Amino acid sequence: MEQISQQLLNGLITGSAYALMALGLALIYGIMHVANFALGGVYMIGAFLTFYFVMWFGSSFYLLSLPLVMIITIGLGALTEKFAFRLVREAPHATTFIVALGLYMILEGGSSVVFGHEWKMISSPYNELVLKLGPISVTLQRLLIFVVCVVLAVVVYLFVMKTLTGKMIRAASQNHDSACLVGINVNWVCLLTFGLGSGLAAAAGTMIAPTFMVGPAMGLGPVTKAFVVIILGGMGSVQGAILGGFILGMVESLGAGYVTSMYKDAFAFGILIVVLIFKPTGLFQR
Amino acid sequence: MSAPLTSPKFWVYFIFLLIMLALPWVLKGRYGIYLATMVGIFVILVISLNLVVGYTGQISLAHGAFYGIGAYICGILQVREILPFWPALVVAIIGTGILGILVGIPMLRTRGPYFAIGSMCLGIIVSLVLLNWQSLTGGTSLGGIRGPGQLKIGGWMIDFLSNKVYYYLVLIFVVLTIFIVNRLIHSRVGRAFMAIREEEELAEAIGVNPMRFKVLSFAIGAMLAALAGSLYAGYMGAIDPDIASVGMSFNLLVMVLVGGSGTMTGSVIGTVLLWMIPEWLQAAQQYRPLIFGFILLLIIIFMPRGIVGWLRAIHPKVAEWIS
Repeated sequence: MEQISQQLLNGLITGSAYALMALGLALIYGIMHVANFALGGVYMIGAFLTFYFVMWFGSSFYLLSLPLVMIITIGLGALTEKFAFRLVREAPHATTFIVALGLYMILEGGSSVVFGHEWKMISSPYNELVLKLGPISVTLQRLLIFVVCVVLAVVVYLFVMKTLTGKMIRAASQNHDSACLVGINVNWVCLLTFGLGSGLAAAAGTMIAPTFMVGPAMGLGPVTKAFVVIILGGMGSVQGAILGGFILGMVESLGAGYVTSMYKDAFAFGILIVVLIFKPTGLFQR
Repeated sequence: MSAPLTSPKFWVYFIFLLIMLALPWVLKGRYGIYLATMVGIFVILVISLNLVVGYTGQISLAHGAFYGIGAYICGILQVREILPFWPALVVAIIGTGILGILVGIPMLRTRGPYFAIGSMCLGIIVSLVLLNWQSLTGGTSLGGIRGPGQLKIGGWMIDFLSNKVYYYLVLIFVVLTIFIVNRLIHSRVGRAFMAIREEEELAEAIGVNPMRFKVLSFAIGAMLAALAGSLYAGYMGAIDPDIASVGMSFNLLVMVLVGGSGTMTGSVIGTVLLWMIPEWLQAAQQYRPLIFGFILLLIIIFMPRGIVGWLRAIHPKVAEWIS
């Protein structure tokens, strides 16, 4: 019982980070049908920025760095839209995927030139504090991951579903031409969505980084998992991305705890194949 | 291939083949021949992936996995001394083909991005199994693969341990692959593949069974990938799970799309180019991945249909010669 609740908690925490990253991917896929692999690079940039903010301003600056990182990476995401993805809007989906792959290489290659290859540690002030909730224990940092990711996901969900701008994003993702006809500036909406998605990925990087190491290649695993999540949830579905993130986190955590940790990573990918065999368009198709 | 002697197309093929035949005598040193041999193996891989991606329209990210499985079947059979190279190569091709059918039937029910990511997951699982099933695969590396060794025909002896001889062996298989795939795409079956690529429902409406042809294309692709894998295993003598990684599948997809998906020439150009760019960038040292990313981005932004697609657009005559 103790073990199962500990595993479930771990699953919720990892799942919340997957959900946040997948939400970013899903928004971008929804609006331009781009499988934006570059978000793995943006996730890594988020972690590196946090590392430097904490190094310069002290570890108490850790949480304050989150909004700063998000603002910078929203700008970065908007740049990738304006100078890369916008130019291939009419191209086949596979082509836009190669653009995303190229951007990822630039981000990873660039950061290993600028920041170096060595893995770095972020000293978060919350890493040392262990909270005991009955039989299960969790560091404050990991609890913070969960809280921040869930809050951000909920805020973005409400933004997309309840505000006028959100409505514009949803309209543009249904049909670019019709959205144009009712007076929506589709270019601006795309820019905004790429920025927003990138900001979310970087936020996930900021939150997860103190519990892992920071290095140029750190984004590859998370972005791959995030792809699994949005397929699991149904391409482009916002609710699906959030729920799918938690499902994946749980499956991985329980699988690693009860079956074998050697094939820990295989669970995430195996579960997707099983789901696709029975539901070829994901669990919560839009 | 059926082009008359006087057509420019024939001469383009002819000159290309002459260059390929002369290559080992022009290139300096072992490294040059090594590169040429690897490019040859990759041409087989990229053409077979192009059959699935470019002609049948299914973005597969499991191709690296089939390459790896082929290499491992061929390698394990030799290391365990169950079969020598040539029969092992045949078993690897047939075995991987059967696996392609078994995997293709459930996976090809999914479409578009679902198939792309589903096949990617398959590829990841294969590379994890190759790494972790140590009693079978030897874990991080499998060495001691003998390869084709020496072949005695009458009084002649062909020594495949020689780099030049192995290059010509690979070249024969490259020409064979180009010939088979070329025949295939100009047949009824190939037209069915392309009909599915354009519009699956429409293909079904005119009597093409999409599942059957998609699985066929996937399985043929897997068999050719296994051929490339076996040639690699026989050439290197040692293999590791990295050859089946998702990174490999990404690379192959990039080669297909940069060259021009759905064109035979594009696959060859894409493969050669993406092998040569990193070589040219050797002097750039740690900036290499960064510059490579920029080059890739620029090529694909300015030529969204690949190099051959771009050539076709600027000059229809050029397209006539090369496609």
